[in-house]
Amino acid sequence: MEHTSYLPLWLLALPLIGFLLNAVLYPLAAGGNQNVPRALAGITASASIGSVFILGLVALGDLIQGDVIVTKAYEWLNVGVFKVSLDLVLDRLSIVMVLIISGVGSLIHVYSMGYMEHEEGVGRFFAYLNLFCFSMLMLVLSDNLLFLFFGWEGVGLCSFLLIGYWYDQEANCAAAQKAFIVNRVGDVCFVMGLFILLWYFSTLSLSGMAGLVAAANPQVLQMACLLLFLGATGKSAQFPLFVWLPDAMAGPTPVSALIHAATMVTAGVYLIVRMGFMFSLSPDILFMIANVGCITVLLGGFIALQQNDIKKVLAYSTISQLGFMFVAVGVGAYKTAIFHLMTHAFFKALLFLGSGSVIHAMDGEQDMRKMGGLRLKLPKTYATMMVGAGALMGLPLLSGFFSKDAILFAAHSLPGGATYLWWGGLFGALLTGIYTTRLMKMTFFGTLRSSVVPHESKAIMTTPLVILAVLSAVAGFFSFPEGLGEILGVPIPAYLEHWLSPLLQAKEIGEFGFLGELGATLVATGVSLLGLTIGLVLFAKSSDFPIGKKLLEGKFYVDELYGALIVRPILRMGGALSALFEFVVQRVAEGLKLLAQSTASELRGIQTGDMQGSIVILVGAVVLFIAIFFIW
Amino acid sequence: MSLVKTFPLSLLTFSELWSLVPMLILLGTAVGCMLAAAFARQGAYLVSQVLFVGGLLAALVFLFVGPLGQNVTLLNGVFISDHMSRFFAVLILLGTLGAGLMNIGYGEKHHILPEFYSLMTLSAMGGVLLVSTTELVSAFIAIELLSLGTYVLIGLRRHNASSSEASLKYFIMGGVASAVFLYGVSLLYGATGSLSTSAMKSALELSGVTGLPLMSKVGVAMLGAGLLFKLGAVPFQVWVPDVYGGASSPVTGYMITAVKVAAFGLFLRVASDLFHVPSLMSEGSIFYKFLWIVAALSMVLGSLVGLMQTELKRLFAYSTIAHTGYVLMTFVVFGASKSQAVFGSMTTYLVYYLIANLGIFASLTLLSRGDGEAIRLSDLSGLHTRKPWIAFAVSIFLLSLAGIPLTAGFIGKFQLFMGVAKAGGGSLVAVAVMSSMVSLYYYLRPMVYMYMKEDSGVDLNDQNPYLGAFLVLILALVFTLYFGVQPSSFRGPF
Amino acid sequence: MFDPELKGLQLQVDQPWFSEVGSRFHLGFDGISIVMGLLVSVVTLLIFVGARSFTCMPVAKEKNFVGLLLLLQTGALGAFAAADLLIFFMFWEFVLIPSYFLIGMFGGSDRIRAAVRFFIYTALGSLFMLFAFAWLIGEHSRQFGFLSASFADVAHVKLAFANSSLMAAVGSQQGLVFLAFMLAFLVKSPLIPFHGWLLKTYQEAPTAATVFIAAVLGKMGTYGLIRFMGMFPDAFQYSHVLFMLISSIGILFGAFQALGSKSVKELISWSSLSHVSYILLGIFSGGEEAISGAVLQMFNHGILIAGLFLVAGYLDARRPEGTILDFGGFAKKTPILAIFFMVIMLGSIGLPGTNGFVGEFLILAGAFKSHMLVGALATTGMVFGAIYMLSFYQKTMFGKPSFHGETKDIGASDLLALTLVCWFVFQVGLYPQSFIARIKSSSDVQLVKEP
Repeated sequence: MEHTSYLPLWLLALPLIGFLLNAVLYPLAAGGNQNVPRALAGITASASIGSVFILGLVALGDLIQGDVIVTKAYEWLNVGVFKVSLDLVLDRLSIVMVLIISGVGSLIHVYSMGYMEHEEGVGRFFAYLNLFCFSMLMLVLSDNLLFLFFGWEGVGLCSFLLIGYWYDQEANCAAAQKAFIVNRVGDVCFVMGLFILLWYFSTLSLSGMAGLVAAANPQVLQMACLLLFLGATGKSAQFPLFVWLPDAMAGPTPVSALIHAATMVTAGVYLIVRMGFMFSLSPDILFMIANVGCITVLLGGFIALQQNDIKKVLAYSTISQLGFMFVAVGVGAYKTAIFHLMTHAFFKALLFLGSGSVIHAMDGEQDMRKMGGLRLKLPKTYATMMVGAGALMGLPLLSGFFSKDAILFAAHSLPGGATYLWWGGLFGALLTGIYTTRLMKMTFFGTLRSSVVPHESKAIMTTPLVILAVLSAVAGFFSFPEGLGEILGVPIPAYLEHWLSPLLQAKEIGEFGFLGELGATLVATGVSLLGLTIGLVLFAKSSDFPIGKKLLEGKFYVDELYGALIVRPILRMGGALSALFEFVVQRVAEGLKLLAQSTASELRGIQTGDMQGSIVILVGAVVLFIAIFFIW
Repeated sequence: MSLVKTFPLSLLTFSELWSLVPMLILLGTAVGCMLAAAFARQGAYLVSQVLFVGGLLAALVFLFVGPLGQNVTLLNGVFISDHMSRFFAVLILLGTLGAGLMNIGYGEKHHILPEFYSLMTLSAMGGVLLVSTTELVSAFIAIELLSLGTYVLIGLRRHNASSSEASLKYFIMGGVASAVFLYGVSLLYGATGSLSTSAMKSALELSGVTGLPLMSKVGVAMLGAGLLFKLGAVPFQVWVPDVYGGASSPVTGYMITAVKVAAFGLFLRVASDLFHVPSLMSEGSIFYKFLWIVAALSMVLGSLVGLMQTELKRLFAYSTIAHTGYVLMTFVVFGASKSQAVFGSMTTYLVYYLIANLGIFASLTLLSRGDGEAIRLSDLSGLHTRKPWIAFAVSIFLLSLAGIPLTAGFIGKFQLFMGVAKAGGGSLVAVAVMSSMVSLYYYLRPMVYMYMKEDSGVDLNDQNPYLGAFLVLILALVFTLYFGVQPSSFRGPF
Repeated sequence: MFDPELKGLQLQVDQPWFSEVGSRFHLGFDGISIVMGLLVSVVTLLIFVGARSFTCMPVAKEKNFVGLLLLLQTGALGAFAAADLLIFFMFWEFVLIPSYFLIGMFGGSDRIRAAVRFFIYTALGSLFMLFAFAWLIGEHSRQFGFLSASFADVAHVKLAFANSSLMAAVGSQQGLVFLAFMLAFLVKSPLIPFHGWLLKTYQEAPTAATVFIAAVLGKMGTYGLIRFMGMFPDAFQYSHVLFMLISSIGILFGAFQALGSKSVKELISWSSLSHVSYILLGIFSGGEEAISGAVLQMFNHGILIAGLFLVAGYLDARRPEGTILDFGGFAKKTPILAIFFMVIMLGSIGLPGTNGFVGEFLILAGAFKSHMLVGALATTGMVFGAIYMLSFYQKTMFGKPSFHGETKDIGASDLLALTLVCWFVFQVGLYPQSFIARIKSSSDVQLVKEP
């Protein structure tokens, strides 16, 4: 049952207030961004996100009785068939997302208070972070697809602003611009999907469409879902449109942690899960999603093997993990996808923040070849990152193990899945193991390969790391597979499973039954251990992958491919066409002018000054005129 | 033998006499000015100017008061005083008065003899007679009276070579045209046996549908040629630029306004009778096609060649040719549809045309160069800093000629185009729209020089402001703007 | 006061004026024209408040400048309020004179050619409109007996239309008059084949005048389109897809030209062309949503382009004769200008939450509905719009400062003007219903019948 309260509106308003304080009030009061006290800006931002987390927990309490909290704010637009009003819906799925965003978000805010301490004018950074959280919450909470698109583009804008935070270097600005434009390409498809839904259902509100979708003709649904998925690939950096994520690492590390690991990139997954009622009615789109996800898993995994920048490795690993989530969604295991989304948010944020404190310690050095042997100098970072890496690789009992294994199992057991998806996923897990061990080995083991004297980060940076480490370890038990529970004799219910089941369709157990699941888990564990050992063996001496080193290092030359095939030709052709068009229009205008002038000078010819000539013309005209009578 | 028998003139009734009074006043003024110029040594200019203005104003008052009873026709058509003739007479006298006022001060400076005013009045008298007669011979007399006065007026600036050249040229070509006109009249007389247009019309209609006898066709052609020459329409327009360019500004102002209106008056008189003859003028007939071509060509040539002009007076000469084309459109359409209504928009157009041109030539007199040379476009540059008022006035008159809203010209042009379009002259209106677009360019050029270029430093009569010309300028400006905002149409007799 | 719910004309003035032609001095505001009236007054306020800092000239010339600008405002307001054909035409042409003198007297180096070209292009278009008006009034008197030139009466005129072949369609009465109107309005708006005057005029005119010309005069073209298209239903139905295609190409054409443009003003002029093509696309798609979107976008574009040209003025004042590459690093030197410029830039990209998005979304939705492919083509325009705007912002604001002159941030009055712009950006972006309610009541003319 549904009850209205202003709680969702407050969830949205708090980050907005934080943004306005940091962006407008403080600089106005302090006369310019520079002299806003750094701590004040940091505390306001973290407080606003922290309070959203607390409010989320309060809302969790209400939602347990199974009802949905709705706020009908105001009617935004009402013209013709097009009625849009801002109504926020807080149901079981969105509360999970809200908690992830605000939980991880507040930790990252606290962390960045330490990370950005020697930057001046930090108010702007925290303002953008709050604006980002506002847009992400808008995306997650809004019932109407148009307002979801509001949040969608809002997060795109904030990622542009934050990637280009240090705007005095050209590279950052180019990366920011690239991110925004690739996102925009995705958004164009998203908008077209919206149009189809708008004209077919004459409404964009999710609750409205849920009822009508059953009777809709599948052709239209298919087209809409395809376009929405293309939009999602743009935002969640999937196969065709993933090129912007590695370049987005140009932004400060907390930004990469929050936006490019935990929250924004998962928007695509959330969209498809939220629109599950429609996607499940077009199975071959789902199957295509699964395939694209699988390709992205492998692509991300391979390229990550040979990256030397610590953040680039993590970026490609994020792309690969997102691939996993899309595989899960593709096969119809929505709940598992959300589970992996949650666990991934924890351990990937942890890894990014850890790498941030490593970079901080190495005075901004991001190239792993210049690091090494940091485990003694940065003990806390080392310990927490080991937990994170373990979770990423899927070592047993850590969160990654449960969520990735569940995806692999669903991949081949669910009716929507296919065995080659399982093999692909397995190989992806292997690759993950390899590049993660390479990363840890190059950063923390061996000897320091640079003259910098690293120093452990302060408490304000390490405490969030510790909390995240605990979460990455414990998160697995949120959705503990029942079967395994019985064997080990400790029946822990799968909380997340039950929590989401009323909303999302139940996950049918495949024909392999429980035993199959146990077998699959064992295989998955074996694979991740295998990856660990391969990683250790391969990178004992050199840090380069033996075969195809240059190909991997060059990231399969995808950027150059896009540049050559799409970007440059369009720009050149467009420029040439419009120059030609402009030339034609000018010529026509000039031509007309010349025509007028030449006829004028011709006619002027007869205006000779001499009188005899004029009389001849005069009489001649009369004679000619009379002559006509005789002819006619 | 009593005088009455020798001159069997029946006594004029009072209303007939009343209708003659304007003509008599003009005659008196002309004679008075001549005597003043001859005898009053020093005050020659002043006296003739006062007499001139007084006489013309009196004549205008009488014309405005209008007839006592119904219309008067004397000597079966030689002199008619009806609504149309009074309307055109008023226009002609206004044009003359304007030109005369312009000359005050200008004349003394450029040693134009005081006889200027008497000649101007005589010529105006010829114009008034021209519009008030249906008798072709008396029309010929009126044309000669009108033109002779103009030939001499052009040449009055004796020290200026171009003036005398222009007057000689206009004299000879005018003579040829009058000869053609007279020959036409005589042929028509031979064919129809009468000199009055209405009698001719009935005679020609009798000749049946088969077609007119050759002689009358040639007669009409000759008549038309003579008239079109006076109007300055295309095949006969070669003299227009040289003569208008050469003459002094007041005289050109007079010719462009009064003489042209008088010629149109006669054309209207002739057309309203002869065009009713079906075989003469109908949709397919040669005359219709010829007149169509004349109208179209005048518009096109007037606007195109105008683009190339650098001298102001020649530029306005071409603009007048274009405007003659626009007005001729109404006759073409009248030829086809035979509806008198279209002449209503023509008369309105003529009024606004007259006002705008008077204003333009008043400002040209005010801007006349010290050395009497013709004003070139480049001389105008930067005028808005030196003489803001005259620059503003000239711009308004230019916009009015171009037909841009908030000026009387636009109201005239819109009404004319609509009248012609409604009466079925769609194709001609298209040509008119095209040519007015092209002419936009050369109406803008003076404004470009005046407002957008640096000061040329040419001495444009900066010292002595001619009061008369200034008065005409102000009046014309006021009326152009007033009729632009509060349009009222002068339908005249239609 | 103006009551949004009421349909039809309000606040009317109706005096007999020019009876021969049957036109009365009839002014009145309905939903669409009240929004346009607001635009005119806001833009004029922006000019007088915002453009003070960079239009410095001797007092003697300044009074002419201000006088001409006020004439422009009266002309534009008159045109929007006109409810009579001839009055509309009068104000339409009258606006030409002050703008001609503004460009010619106060413009840049090649101002005279620009002024003359601007005048001839627009006057050429409007003469066709004069022709069409004369025909319409004549037709009305033929069909209804009495002479009248008011919009309401002329709307009932039935004109014959034959859509057997293209030549028949163009030759038919309705086709001819429709074309005459189109020519006049598309030259003014402008749409691509008729945009010859745009670049030169916007570059050569003084920035304050360009603000007005770009923001308001163009809108008279699109406003006229909306007013008169209802009178030619068959001709519109026959040709609206073609015109939609042309405007979509116009969007992309403007974007590509903007990408390749050197100077600040050139880029903004091309972006204005691209945005106006959006509006035209909305109008030609017919349908209530698209038309309301187009009207809203007319208002938004007016505000945004005014803001952009103000920013161009400030940039030009700080770095005269600078091409886009000469700027750079302005965000450090003039942070407040950077923030406001960012908001305006986002508005013109059409980011949700700003006014650009609302209009664009409605227009693209309408275009998508009436012709799928053309709608899709236009939607890609969103990407190119983002590309050239972002690279423009980045080249001027971010990156290393390429010159070391000291530049102070924008003054108080400029700040006021830009805040006003940003206020409208967000007011329409976050609560468009306030505008749409007014526009909707008078734009429910269903131009394209349901297929």
